[in-house]
Amino acid sequence: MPSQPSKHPAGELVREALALHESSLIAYACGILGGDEERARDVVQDTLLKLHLADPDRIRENLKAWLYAVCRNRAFDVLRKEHRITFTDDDDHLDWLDEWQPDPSEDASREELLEHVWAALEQLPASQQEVVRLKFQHGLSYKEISSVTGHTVTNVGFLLHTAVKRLRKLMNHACAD
Amino acid sequence: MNENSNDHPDFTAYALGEASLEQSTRVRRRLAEDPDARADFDQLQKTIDALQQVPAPPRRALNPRQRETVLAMSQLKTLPPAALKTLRPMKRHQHPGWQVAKLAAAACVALGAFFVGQKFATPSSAGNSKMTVATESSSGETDIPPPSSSLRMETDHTPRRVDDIPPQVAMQSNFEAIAEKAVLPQPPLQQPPASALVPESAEKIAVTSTDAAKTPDAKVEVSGQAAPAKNPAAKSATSMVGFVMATDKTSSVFEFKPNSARRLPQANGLVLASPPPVNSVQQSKKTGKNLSPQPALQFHSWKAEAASCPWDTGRRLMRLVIQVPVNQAAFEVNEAPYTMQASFDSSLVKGYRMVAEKHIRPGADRNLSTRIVWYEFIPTEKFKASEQNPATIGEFKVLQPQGHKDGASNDGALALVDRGTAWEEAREDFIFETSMVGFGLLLQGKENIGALNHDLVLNLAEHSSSEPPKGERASFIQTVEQARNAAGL
Repeated sequence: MPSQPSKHPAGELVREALALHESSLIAYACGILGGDEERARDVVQDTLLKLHLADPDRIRENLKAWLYAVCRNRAFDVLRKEHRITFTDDDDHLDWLDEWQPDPSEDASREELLEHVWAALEQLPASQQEVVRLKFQHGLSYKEISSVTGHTVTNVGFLLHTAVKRLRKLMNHACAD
Repeated sequence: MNENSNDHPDFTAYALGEASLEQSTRVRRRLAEDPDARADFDQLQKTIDALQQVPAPPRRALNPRQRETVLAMSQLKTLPPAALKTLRPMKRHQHPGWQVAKLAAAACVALGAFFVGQKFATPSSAGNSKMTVATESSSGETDIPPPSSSLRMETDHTPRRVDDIPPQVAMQSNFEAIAEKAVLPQPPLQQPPASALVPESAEKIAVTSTDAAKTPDAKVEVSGQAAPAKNPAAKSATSMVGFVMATDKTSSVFEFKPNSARRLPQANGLVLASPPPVNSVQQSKKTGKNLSPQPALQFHSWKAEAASCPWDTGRRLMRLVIQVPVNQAAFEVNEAPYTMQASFDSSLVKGYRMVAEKHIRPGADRNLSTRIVWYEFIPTEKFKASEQNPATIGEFKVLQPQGHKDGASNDGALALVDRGTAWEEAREDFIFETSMVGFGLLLQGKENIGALNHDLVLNLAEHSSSEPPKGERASFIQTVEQARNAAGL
């Protein structure tokens, strides 16, 4: 017998979102909002309120990507309103990395890498930081990251690849210092 | 993948388990054949391992009150409309003398009309924005210019969808959700005061055509009087009442009058009511040349954005913004109006109507005059738009005066691109202005407005932002509440 459709599917989705994604969404919004946790909570609350208005059938399969996409938009709305948004995606300052060739014998150990990885991440351009965080902190797939950020899946792959390569160099450089 | 390169995104995708079968095969073959590739891949894998080892961020949760609010929303749909009303977000602006306002119904509604006009002049809508031509392939700057391609999607004008479901289908349940939130059904045209504010021929003025004289009224009148259906959504999904059929007339034209674009002059600190007229004839005589009687209009930027319509799932809303510099001959030595034309592709658009328009004069420190026009359109069954596959539903252009080639002052026409955006995913400003457009329709007593009512307007206005409305937005919400109360709703 087919299962009865839920009477309040949007409400169920909200409860599911709260249970599974509340904390990570706040962390994600917090990252965009420069560590402002209270604002991040407001953004996530707004995201979940929007979920009530959305079509559950349409987003059920993509709930995680939908939540991150709406949360991201709201967070940027907040930044935009406060004129705090900066679109400095200039990676000129990392040009030296392309030239720098570490001594293979001095490659950082796993522990050293762990120590430096997030410090190095801060030095990446914003677009690369974002896909790295979405991938490794929030566990989104390429396709989900594509939905959230608007990049194509191919572009997500390229950004991640470039970011990982640069991170490697940055971490090795930090360890060499 | 370049066979000679070990530096390819496929390696990262493979390491992350994101590679397709074909990519995986290529990568594996490469790793098996090339020791250098293996060494590079090991390095890559180490970095990825390090990234994956990073501890999860500390557990965070909403405040109890926020959680309560979110969960309380789940209960709203289960309650009868009367109870729903009491659960609405607390009114932020309780007017102490609202009883008086109730008695002065007509005055309140008139005040509302005034505010609607004023709200379009808010700087956040477009007044302070610098926009470049926003074509499908361009990187248009908006309020915050995004130089980064990767961050372009963070800007406010291209909210994304997370799947490819056509908007007509996608919005059906959204509409139902909002319609349920909108407490009361649309009353049978209870806007007598508002109707007095609108000239009888408002629609004809709004949607005019160069051949309007030949076809005085191209509107399709399905029924003589627009009595709201008991189920507005069901009716409005197919109703073309009040809309111009795109198969009959593909273009909507409107005028841009130089006098409405000029900065208001000041005399001894007082802003005069109207800029002084200019004498274009005298100017022509001065030059002594056989000049074109009307200079071409140079424009600075234009932009169109579309999203689904909150009060009818079968329709979509489009906001068109045109900015023109005022320090040009078209305004300095000319009084004749310019004609602007929005054309719709009848294969994608069944019907359309202009629902709002606004001039914003340049401020003291700006040289741009802005014209904002809102269209409501009904897509055809062929219409399918998504972020990945946007649909070009038509184009916009300025019909330059005779003697000037169309678009001579700027390149071509603006493609009216619809990316299938749902209104909930639209920019805050777009949603808020949608509420203002909706209020305008209520005040005008427009027919065929689907599930639009004061509650829907309030919901849109109040929930458009993550922050409590302030300033003029708060005043707008207060005005809508007053109008609703005044109308006995």
